[in-house]
Amino acid sequence: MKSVIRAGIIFALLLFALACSPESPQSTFGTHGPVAELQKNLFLFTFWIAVVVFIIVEGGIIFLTFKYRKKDDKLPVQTHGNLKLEITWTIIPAIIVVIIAIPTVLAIWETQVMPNEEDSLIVEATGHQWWFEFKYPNEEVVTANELHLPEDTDVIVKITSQDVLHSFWIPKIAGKLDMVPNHENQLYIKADDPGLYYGQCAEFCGIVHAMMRFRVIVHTEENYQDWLNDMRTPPTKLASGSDEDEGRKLFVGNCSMCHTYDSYKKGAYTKEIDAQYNRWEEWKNDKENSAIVSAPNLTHFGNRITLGAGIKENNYDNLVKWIENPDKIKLGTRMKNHASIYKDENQLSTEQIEQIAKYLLSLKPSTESSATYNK
Amino acid sequence: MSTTSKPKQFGLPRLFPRPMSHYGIWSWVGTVDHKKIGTMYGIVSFFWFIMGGIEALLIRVQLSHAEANIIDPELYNQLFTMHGTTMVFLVVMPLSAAFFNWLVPLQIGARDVAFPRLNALSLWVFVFGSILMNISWFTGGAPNGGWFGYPPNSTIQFNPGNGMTYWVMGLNVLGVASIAAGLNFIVTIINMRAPGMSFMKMPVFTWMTFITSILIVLALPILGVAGIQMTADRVYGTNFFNSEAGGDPIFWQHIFWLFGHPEVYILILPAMGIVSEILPTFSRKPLFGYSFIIFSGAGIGFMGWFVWSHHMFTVGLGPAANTAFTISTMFIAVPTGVKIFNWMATLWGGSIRLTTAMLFSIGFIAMFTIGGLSGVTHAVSPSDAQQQDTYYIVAHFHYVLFGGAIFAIFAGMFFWWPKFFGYFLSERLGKISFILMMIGFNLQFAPMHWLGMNGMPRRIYTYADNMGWELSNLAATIGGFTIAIAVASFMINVIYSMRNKKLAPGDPWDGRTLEWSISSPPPHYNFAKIPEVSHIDDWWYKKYPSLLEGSPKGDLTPKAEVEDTSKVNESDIHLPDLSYYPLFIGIGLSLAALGVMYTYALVTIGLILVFWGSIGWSTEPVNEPGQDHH
Repeated sequence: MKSVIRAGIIFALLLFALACSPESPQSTFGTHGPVAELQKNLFLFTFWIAVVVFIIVEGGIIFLTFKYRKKDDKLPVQTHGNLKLEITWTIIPAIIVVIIAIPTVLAIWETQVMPNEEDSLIVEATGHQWWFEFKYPNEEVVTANELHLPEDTDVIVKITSQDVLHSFWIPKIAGKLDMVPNHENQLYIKADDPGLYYGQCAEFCGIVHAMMRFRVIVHTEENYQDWLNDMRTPPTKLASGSDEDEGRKLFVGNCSMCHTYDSYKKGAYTKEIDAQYNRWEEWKNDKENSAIVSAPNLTHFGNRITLGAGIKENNYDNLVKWIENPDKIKLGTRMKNHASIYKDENQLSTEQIEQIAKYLLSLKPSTESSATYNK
Repeated sequence: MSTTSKPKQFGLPRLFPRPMSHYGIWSWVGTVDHKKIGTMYGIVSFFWFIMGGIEALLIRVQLSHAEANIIDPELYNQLFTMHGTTMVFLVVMPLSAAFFNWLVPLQIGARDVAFPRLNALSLWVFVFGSILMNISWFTGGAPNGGWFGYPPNSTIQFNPGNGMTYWVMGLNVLGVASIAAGLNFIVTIINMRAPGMSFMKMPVFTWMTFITSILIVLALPILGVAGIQMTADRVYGTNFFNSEAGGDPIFWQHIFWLFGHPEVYILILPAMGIVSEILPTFSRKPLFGYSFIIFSGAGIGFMGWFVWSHHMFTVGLGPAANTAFTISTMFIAVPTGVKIFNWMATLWGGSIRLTTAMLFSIGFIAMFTIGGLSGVTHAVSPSDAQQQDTYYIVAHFHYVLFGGAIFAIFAGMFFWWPKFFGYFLSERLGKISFILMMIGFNLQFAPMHWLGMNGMPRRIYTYADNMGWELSNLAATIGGFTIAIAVASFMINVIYSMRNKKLAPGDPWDGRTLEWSISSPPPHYNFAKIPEVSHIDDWWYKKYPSLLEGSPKGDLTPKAEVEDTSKVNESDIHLPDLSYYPLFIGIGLSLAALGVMYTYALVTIGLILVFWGSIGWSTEPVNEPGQDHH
């Protein structure tokens, strides 16, 4: 029997060796924001109570099983019950539950009541199959799949979805909230430290739910302002005849119906909202054949860290592969299924694809800025 | 009375002769015997258990390492949808139904259920409904919208093709089977208890069946309504859940979980009933706190109606709703805790025999406790925002439904197998199955807790290699295959034990309830003489009446013996004859459901079968005149 117990202990230790590491990019233990911090502490509070109950019950089961193994044919004492004991183990769990309920209810109201909108940064996050759109209505800035936030600032994320259910989740900063079509949810978040954080869709949303991810870049206040300025600065002018310029022509001809690339312009913000809405209507009305779909805004794409909604590092090789055949990286994208360049008669040559990739990577603000992108 | 002429029978012309034999294939196809029906429930749902298990293994293979390309995302979505749907509706529910069928009449001293033909109808509707749902694999893709079928992703607008229509039509059909069975067991338990068996003298398993049946009758119609709405949306272009036309996808979540949470207790209460029978038997003392176990079960069943929105803590219902559902959810832990402490107290001071059934039952308490505790952490809704839709919840409900329900079902199989079939399952192989399953189960599902806490969402078909999820996933996959070996060892056990029959007496475990007072396997009429009941665990006290005088050191030579079938005059016992109408109605319903997706011709044929079956059924005499029946 001892060897069985020993094996059991080793087995349990092995399992715990696999346990939670705060370093992993989506760990809910390595928190960098007060909301996630509160949620973590509340979890740990419940967890340690549960551990005590766990030890009592599991220890009790093992103890009783060994202690009262059948030794002889004698009939044990035939107890039917004990009212005092019953009352005791009804009341004690009830008390434990109350002890857990009090901080829980306080935390619900602490995290789910929004701060004053005037003193907060408002971000609108919209879920699309299978990417995230981020809009800053007061700053009139729009971007996709990469959310930029200033540190130590109250942020109200206004969350909705264009198509199916999604869920907005940055594990290290705050717990998730669902993105529901025709409905706006509000999530309060605050990031403590500058850095790069991972986000991921957490509600099943169709074929490539697994590849609907995003990044959060938290800046110092100063860098954040620089980023906003960048987003309003046009990109460098391209030398005519260069690969990049050829790429630009190809992009404008083949891609720009769905991908906006110039939201740095004045008034581009409202235009983009209308454009995105019209693309959606177009697709909605003819899901089989529409050549137009809602697509991520690519303004200053050259500064993006990832492509394909947080899937691959944004570099030349990956970008060429992505444009050649998105299915190879992310099976089931709307781009592959609807864009005319993937129909036989309109296919682009390898050279043309390379030119588009070069153009997209050249999309960076023309002036140097201090905004770091945590590449 | 010799001069009375036979009353004229109104009836349909018979297309087939009524099956009359108690042997051979037709005796199974036309059976109305609760024992045969129970066996068929068991065989069919065990088949789906294997299928659901294979689906799970494929999922585990794909997730065994980062960025695996073994299964494409579309197939992966179909696999997890069908794994969940299969395990809930085609495995745990009907496996429980197998035990209801086998045990309830035996435990209450009845010769059958109240409505034997309705019982056969439940079986056949379940069988053909389960086949209907799985036909989808061969007709262009299985359901792929999750076992919860959340719109808009499950609407025709976002999910064209027939997969989700098969899913919802399958659920519609299966709901009929469950509701009919639920009604049947409620009526059976209320009306057919042996003389003297008041409600508070009923075996705990029968009690849990009673509560479960009430839940089924109340909860499944809710799913039925949701299912009809979704069917109308998908097939007839209505807009209940179509967000593009202003329909409300959250409405679906409310009705689905209003069904879905009581459903959780439909899955676990029978398991609690099973272990509540096994623990006292192998501790050789009564169940501690019988009435507390019963009332906490009823309490769980009742409170289960007020917690559905805890499945929706991150939907954005607002702080008031979240507060209410947090509190109601937490308080379900209290009756659950009461049960666990009573089971422990049953062990306390006992004389414990560690049979396989007992090991699985103790394993049930141990694993279910873990699931219960992680359930409390889920009830804490602010921190649940981190765990919702991650692998943490996958771990939680597998501890409840596998470590709970499936462990208890295995316990029940080892415990009642000798009663049902007259021979023992091998204890040696059984213990191997238990150890393998215990190790495999924990290796598969314990690491999922930290996968969830490390931010791995569920329902993703792949993940990047820098997320720190690989080791735990690999462990889970190894665990999954260990469970597969454990299940295989159980199947080997069944075959081995069938070939090398170690015959079982009527009362092999020194049992406590009425089913042990008759021979193994029970004769088709169960009880030659309907017993009279005066105590909880009546059979136990018939054997050891001196215990009633309060003497723990009472006389331990049994004073009662298993009923001797050789002296029974079977012609005195009247049981209904066989009927094939339930089978036809079962086939007809599924055909009609299939036709909804393809052609009205099929719907018509199906409905004709249903109509013909119903008329034939209602005009068919219980016993065929002029036959020697018993």
